[in-house]
Amino acid sequence: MAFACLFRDVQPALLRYLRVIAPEAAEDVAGEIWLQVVTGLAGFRGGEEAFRGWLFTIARHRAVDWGRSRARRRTVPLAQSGVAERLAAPDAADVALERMSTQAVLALVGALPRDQAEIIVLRVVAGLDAQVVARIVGKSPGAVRVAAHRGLRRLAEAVDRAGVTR
Amino acid sequence: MDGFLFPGRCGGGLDELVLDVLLDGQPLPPDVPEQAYLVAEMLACLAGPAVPGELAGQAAARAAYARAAAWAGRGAAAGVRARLAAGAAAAVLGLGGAAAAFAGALPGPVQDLAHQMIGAPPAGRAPAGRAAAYLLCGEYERALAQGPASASADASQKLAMAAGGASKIGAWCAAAGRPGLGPAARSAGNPKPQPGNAKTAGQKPRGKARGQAGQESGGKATGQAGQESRGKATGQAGPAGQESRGKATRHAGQSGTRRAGP
Repeated sequence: MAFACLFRDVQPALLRYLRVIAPEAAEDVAGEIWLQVVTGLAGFRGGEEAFRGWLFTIARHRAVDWGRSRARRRTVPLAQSGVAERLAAPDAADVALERMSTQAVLALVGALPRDQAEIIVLRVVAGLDAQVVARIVGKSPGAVRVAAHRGLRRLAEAVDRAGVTR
Repeated sequence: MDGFLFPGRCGGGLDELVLDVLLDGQPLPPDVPEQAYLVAEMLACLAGPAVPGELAGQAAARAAYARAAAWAGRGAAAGVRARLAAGAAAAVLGLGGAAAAFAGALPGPVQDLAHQMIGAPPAGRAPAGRAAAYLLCGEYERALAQGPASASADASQKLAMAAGGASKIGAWCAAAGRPGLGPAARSAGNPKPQPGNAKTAGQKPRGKARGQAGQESGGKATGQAGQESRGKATGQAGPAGQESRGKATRHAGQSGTRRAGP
């Protein structure tokens, strides 16, 4: 039962993170991550915050591995196909207050530059603090803060342009 | 998205401090631009409860965990300890077991194995924190309301250990935020209904996307420890085990970032 609670607590956040950094393979990569997590879980000593930091560190490694193996398999130039395979272009108008949905906002975030998108998800969805996020993404805490701010401003601009009001 | 790469108006008037507040999920100060409230709403949505489909893969993950836990038991000295480990895993993973483990309420050797397996406190320590107590009392309430008498007797025993005696359960659970378990409630088998969300003390007002849309987490004694999973547990998070928990509602705890509505 402990594991079921753990899974239910973390899996939505994990999937949302993976949709941003490994969009076509979120569920598959999540499965690999849980395999690694359960193997190490018996020896894990930290509390909930430490656990999430650990899990999302694993998540990023797995997603990077997936990205590399995908790049090796690719037969068309990466830049071209990356755009083609993107999730359907998000519509900022979908974020109108009365229709606001998790998926719509996630799509908007997914359209941000990758570093901004993943940092926002790690801070806001995974609930990790700036220091932990900095370690996970390999940047300084200052750079993490700048990227997060840029991302939030872009989100604000996007809904502004779409004329969304409260 | 059209024009997304060409910033139009600047992210108007959202200064660094407001952005930090938004990232931390803290209540917005007064006199912030309208835009800040909209971004706060978006972030609350982004971190909202599980939507259907986001809990898929649980069965496969749980099967992998059961195998890993059984293996950890076998890794210790064989023979008696291995049997004890299998029994401990069953206790830990069964109804109330994990909550009892974190409350330090299992019998000594079993508690020590839970300590090794899931990082629960080792035997001999005082019950850990209000959160564990809240969970344990919640398990018991649900067992009283739904389960067979054997489940509630079991949960009652664990609670008595944690609380320091059966007569202390009511007060102990009340202190942990579940006041419906006084002696009258227990003997009548009819506890007052409690709010469903198990919010642990100290949780951030907005934050992690938790799978708590209307869920009841108790009631299912699965006891899967030590069980070899037959069939295809390949770690692929397929749709098996998808749990539809009714309407996903927004986290009540996010109200701090919203202005009082019109």
